[in-house]
Formats: sequence, C-alpha cells, structure tokens
Amino acid sequence: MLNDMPPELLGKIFGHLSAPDIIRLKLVNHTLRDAVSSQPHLQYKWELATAGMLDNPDVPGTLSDRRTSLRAYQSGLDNLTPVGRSRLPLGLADWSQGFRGSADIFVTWTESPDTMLHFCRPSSASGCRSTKAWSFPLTFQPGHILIHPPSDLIVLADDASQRLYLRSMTTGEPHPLASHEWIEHDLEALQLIVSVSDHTLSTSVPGRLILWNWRTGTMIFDRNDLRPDSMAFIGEDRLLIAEALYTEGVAPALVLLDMSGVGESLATVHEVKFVCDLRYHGNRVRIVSEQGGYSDISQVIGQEAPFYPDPSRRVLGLIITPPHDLLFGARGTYVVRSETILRLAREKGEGVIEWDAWGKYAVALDMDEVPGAVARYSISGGRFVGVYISKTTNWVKVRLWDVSRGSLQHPGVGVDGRYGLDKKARFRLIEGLVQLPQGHKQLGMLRDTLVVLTVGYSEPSLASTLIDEWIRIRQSDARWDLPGQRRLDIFNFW
Amino acid sequence: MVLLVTSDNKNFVVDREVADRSVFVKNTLEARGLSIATPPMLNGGCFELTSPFLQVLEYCQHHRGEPLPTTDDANADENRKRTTDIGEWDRKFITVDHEMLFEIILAANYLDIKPLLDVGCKTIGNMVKGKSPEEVRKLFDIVNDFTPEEEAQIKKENEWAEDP
Repeated sequence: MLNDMPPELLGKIFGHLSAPDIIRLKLVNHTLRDAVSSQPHLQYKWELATAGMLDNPDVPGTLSDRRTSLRAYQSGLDNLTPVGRSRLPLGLADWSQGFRGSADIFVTWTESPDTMLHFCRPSSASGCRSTKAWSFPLTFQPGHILIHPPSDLIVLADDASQRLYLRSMTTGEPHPLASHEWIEHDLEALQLIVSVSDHTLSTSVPGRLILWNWRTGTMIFDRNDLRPDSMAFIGEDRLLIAEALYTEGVAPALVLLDMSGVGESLATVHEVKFVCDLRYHGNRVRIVSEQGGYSDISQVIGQEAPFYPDPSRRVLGLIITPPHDLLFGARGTYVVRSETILRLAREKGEGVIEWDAWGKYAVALDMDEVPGAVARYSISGGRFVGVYISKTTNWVKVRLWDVSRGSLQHPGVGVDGRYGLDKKARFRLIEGLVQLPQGHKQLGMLRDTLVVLTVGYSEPSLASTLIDEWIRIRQSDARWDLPGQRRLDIFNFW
Repeated sequence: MVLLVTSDNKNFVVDREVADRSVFVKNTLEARGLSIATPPMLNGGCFELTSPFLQVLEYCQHHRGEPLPTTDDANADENRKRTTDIGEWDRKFITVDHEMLFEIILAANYLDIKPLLDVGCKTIGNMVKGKSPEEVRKLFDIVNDFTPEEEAQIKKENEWAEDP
C-alpha cells in the first residue's frame, strides 16, 4: 500500500501535487513525512513556497491571501516565454563567466559578441533539464550578480562605473519596486555582493560591510571594523550572520543582522556570544535555553555564552539551513545537526556547548586531514556540503557530502577520510580529480546537482575531454549509485 | 513474438511490439538478441503475481505502436508532468482497487513503462489532492504514528499553508 512504496515512487506520486498538498502529506505519518523530506524536488517545492511567503511584509496579511500571492508568483514563472528549449544558447566560444543559483533559477552571462544575461529554470530538481530559458542584453559586463527570485530582483555590479544595477529578472527592465535604476558605490571592486533579500542588499570588501535598502537606495549600515582576514557572511534570506566583530583584546563574537525589513529591524546589529543553537524561523531566532521557545533577535543579548573561545579554531563560515536544522562550520571543521547536539547536551546536563566541544557531537566531517584549504562550500537544500579544495593550482578536488542523513549511528564523513553516512542515502560522497587549466574554473551547487563551469576555453575538444573525464570518474565510482545520465543532464548546459 | 515469463512461472507469448512498450524488456531483448525475456520480478521479488502483469500487458497491447517517449524530448516530458488529466481509456483502465493500483505502479516502474507509471502516479495524486491528513490516512488505511508533540511541531512549521 501507499506506506510500503519505495521513496522514489512516493516522490514521483507527490511530484504531481501542489505545495499545500505536500505539506498536508507530511502530517500523515512518519513514512510519508520522511518520503517528502528525502526527495529534493519536493523539498524544493516546499522551500520555494516558504521563501516567497514567510515574513514577507509585502504579502497581504491573511494566509489565504498569501497563498494566492504565492501561486501567482509561481504561475508567473511558469508562463515565461522560453527562448530555448533544452539548452541555453551558449556556444563553446562564449564560455560562461559565472553563475548564481537560488531557489530554482539559474543565471549566467556571456560576453561575445554582445553581453547577454541568460536565465534558466530547470523542470525538476533531479532532472535539471532546462525547460524555461530566457535572456536579455546588457550594456556592460557585470562583475558580479545576485538574484532574489521572490522579489524578481537581479543585482548586477558594474565595476567600471561602480554601480549596482537593479533589474527585474524576468523582464530585464529596471526593477519596479526600486525607486532608482542603480545604487552608487564607493567600494573599489564590487566583487562581493554578499546577499540580497526582500529589502536589503549587502556588499562588502574585506573588513567592511555595507547594507543598503535597495528599494529606496539608502545606505542603512556601514561598518569597517570587522576583522579583515576572516570575515564571512552567509545570508539566509533575511538573517545575515557575520563572524567576529573584532576589537583588540575582546573575544570574537558573532554579529547578527536582522535584515527582515519588518518594522524597525531593517538592520539591527547585535554582538552576541551565543550560538549554541540558532534556528532561523521566519523572522525569529530560536534560542534554546532552559525555557526554550522562540525569541526575538533583540532578546539574544544577555544570553551570552562562549562560542568559540579558542581563536585558533575560528569559524570561517556558518550556515543555518531551515528547515533542515543543520549547522555547518568550516575550518575546524564540523557539520552538525543542531537538534542532535542539543539533545545530547541535555542528556549530559550540559546546557551550553562550547565550540571545541562540538567535535564530540559532530556527526559529519573533520577536514583537518585535507592538506589544502577549504576554498568553497555550499549547501543546497540542506542536503549537501560541497567542498572545493585546490591542492595545487591545476588540480581541483571536489567532495560532496550528504549531511542531512547524518546521525550518530552513522558517524559520518571524515572519520576515515571518506564517508559513512546512511547507506540508503541516494547520494553520497563523490570524489574526483579533474584537471583544469589554471584559473579556468568555477564551481557551485544548483539544487542537488554539482555544477562546474569553466571559462576561457576556445577549443571545444578540450572542454569535452574535460567533461568526459569528469563523467568517467563519477561513473567508475561504485558509490555513485544513480543512473549516470540523469545526473549529468546538467552538462547539457555547456 | 516474444515469450515473457513471470515469477510464478506463467508464460505469455506476446507481439514484439507489445513487449517493447517496456523499456526494460526492449533493452534486454536488444542486448541479448533473444526472443525470451524474463522480467526482473523473477529475481527481484518485487511482485510475484500474474494478475498485475496481465493488467500491464493489457495496457501495452492497447498502446502498442505508439511512439515511446524519448528522454531527449524535454517538452513532452514537461507536458506529461504538467497535465493532470488522464486519457479516457487510461482512466477506465486504472480504475482498480488500491492494491492492484500499487502493484501496477511497481510493475510499471520495474519494467520501465513511463507512460503507465505516470498514469498510476497521477491517479494517486488525484486521490490525495485537497485531502486532509486524516482523510488520507482513512483512504489508504494508514496509522498515525506521530506523537501529539511531533504533530504540533509540523503544524507549526507549516501553519502559513493551512486554511484560514
């Protein structure tokens, strides 16, 4: 019966349903709930829905109105007129300059003969076959781009004029909610647009962080006393977490910026020393204390506890991925499920866990065995951590972990330098060495799929050799237990 | 003609065109150059009944000769996913009891008959659509194994989607 169906088939069945139906199914029993959670495309449907809905001050008040608004947004995307079918119009001579993905939109740009922005929207999380693609021309070459699909915003940095252009993603026109076409910027290089949310846009160079209200164009926060060598930001929609406001002689702390745009809290800075368990939930942060429950960010202050007292183990980045309840810290390095940690801590009577103690509870990885630096990581759908390690300038090592399945029963990645997650997990560690010409590489996650883009190739044969090698490595790995072709559809993009 | 053998040792002789509706059987036959196929449920133990297999054969016979969906055809794929309608003949065909419906889905999945798999999945999807968790449990005879706390937690996480 329904209960006994394999999760993949449940995923197929539920794939025909709308987000509210999927949510109701999660309430039926454990089996169905887990089936939904284990299927990336369902989880994305859910996340896309919540991303557009939760705490969006522009969405009318009642829940019924919110649903209507969400559907309008989704059907708007569905009705975009495609310019291409299964491929983007990218030639091998126009190698993509980079890309950004968010929710299920993927954007890249090409340079010749004209600068064009290309968008695509794959038809399913696992298929990654683009069924919607559209483009529009640009009069400049963007140095950096960032998108925010729920507000149809794309931010394009033009380094030459030091401007941040605000456009509608779907039309290419100036964004209707912004009162101006661009924001003037005094940073020398706009290489770092950190995050963008409903109201806020943040930019940064080492040591300095600036927040803008992109709708009005006003600067709402500018701070340049952040520790330059280790500042890291992870925008989680409306909550920005930055490491280490640094003053000589003072222990490092986290800076929390509430970028909700709700009421007074457009950019509230709190220097807190507490990150035992932070659960981002809507506009609130859950602080687990004796009392439990949800707290406003403003109430975080006063609940101080040492976070990472050992400066040699500084945190490079912290990602909190609702609704997966996952914490990721790099350089150290742990991936942990905060619920698991909290439960264990409670059992042991420890209310607060210091950073160094996390190792005792971490379920996933210890990357100290890796000689190279952790250059890049990301979580897509709370499911994967991708780590990009450059051992020499010409070699790239890519590792992916499925951390969402980790548990204490399965000690996880890293103990033996490999993997040890749930054997039933559909995706496990992928490891491969790919030779790339120096400087010609970009890596990122698009939903549950690894995307590697290279730039600067002029010889098609070289690029296809590279792809073939990549495919061969993955297919020869017995741990890669998916039908190979399906996973590799993304390469149609090339 | 092709001889198909099910796990309970029933033999079926069918036209090649009919057998080829199953991508699995098609590939097996092509790979081995044989005219006898033993469907995977023989070994897999996925199901071992002749009756769902008969249903599947009926479906294949009805749709024989139609072009097989190709994986390259993104547009067709999209259409198939989007449309919740089921053709007239297919709807009648799939009007069976729950147990048989699930058996057919499993068989279609195993034998790789995508259009049939879609019909089955959509049918269940249509049954579930708009139903409350309790109604779904009743429909499929599922026991609620959540604790009240868990239930409250999930509800809280998703309250924005509930009916006002």
